[in-house]
Amino acid sequence: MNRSLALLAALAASFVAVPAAMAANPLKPEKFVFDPARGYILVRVGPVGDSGNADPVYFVRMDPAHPGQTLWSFGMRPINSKKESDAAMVWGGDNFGNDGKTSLYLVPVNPGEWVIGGAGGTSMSLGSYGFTVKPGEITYVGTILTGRENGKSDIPEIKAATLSQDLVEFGTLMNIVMSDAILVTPSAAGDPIPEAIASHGVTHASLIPGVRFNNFLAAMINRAIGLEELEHQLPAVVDSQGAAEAPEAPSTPSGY
Amino acid sequence: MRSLSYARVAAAALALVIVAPAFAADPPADKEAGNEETGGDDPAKFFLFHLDGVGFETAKADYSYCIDQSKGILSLRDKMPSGGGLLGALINGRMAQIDRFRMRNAAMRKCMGLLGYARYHYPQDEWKILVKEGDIVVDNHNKVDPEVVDRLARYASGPTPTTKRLEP
Repeated sequence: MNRSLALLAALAASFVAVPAAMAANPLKPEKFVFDPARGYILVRVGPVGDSGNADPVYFVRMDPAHPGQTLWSFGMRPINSKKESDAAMVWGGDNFGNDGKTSLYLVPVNPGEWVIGGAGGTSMSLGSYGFTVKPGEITYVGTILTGRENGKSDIPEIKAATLSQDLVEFGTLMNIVMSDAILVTPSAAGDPIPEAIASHGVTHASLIPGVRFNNFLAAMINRAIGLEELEHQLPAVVDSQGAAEAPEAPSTPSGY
Repeated sequence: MRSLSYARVAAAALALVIVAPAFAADPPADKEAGNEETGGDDPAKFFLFHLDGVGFETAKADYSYCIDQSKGILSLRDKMPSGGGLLGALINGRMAQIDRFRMRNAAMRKCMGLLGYARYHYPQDEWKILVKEGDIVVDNHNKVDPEVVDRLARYASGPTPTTKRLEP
């Protein structure tokens, strides 16, 4: 049931009325031809079902001209369009194998500052991890585990992030108020990587914790597990004419 | 005879439009049994946030941030195409409206909860006046009302409520 909902959310995230243009999808191993002009996101995602398919995790590139804003948001061309290289939906069977718990995905994208944007039907806009993707580099983000906040996850940290009972029990056919959680473990030097990828060199991402951004999925919102507490917002500054200026978000690192 | 049939179809269609939302997102009634501690009010709908020791300006900034994160939420019904022609679109539109309201409320609970705010029951009649018949995120024209945000922040930074404290 959870998997069906996640897939439905993924379908909704990818669907827009605008005719499909193109997107960043995970590569099939047999289709991988290294392009030095592009950047690549390498990530393990789980838990996986019996087929080895993971539920969707979203990545999105930040707009360098507008701090805190993503370059892609819902309503633009589909996130899984082949022309969309500023956002990516990582899921399904196009992967480089699984270890029984997670599957390894490789996605070609535009270089820049990226964030782990969300999972299932939830935007991690209240706080996630940022990282840099450079041209000609394969950036290994690490492992992202996902699950709904209904107390049923096999992952202890996600199971502990259970919503209040009325939200867990909401709805009959579908729970529209249920948010998803993500648990991120940075990549490590000893992680096994297939030779077809490793031969091009792999850069371990320096994850920047606590990056916040707009609710680009127009979906439920959450904050990645394990981050520091969400900081209060700074009050608006009122100038001598009485006009209020919006303060900057306090925990958004430079470049995001 | 034919006009009578059309009238019946139209009446049935109208009934569907009116009745269907009740099944849409399984919304509890405003007043229902089991909510005695909140005077029968649905605690998922009639609530406000409060944080001991927070200042008005900070509460206002926190509310503004969470409202900004929540106001654009769309339901799956908004994102997926609907069938059933005009009638289907009418029903779907009404159901989506209820979905969005519920999702916005849940998102505000997540956001304000992460900022440390507690959630308290607020009596339905007073709540409707306070939010001007809208909700804690947007008014009936889908706009954020600055006056309502001020009221919400005033309550959040005021004395500790004496009404029932609810789950986050």
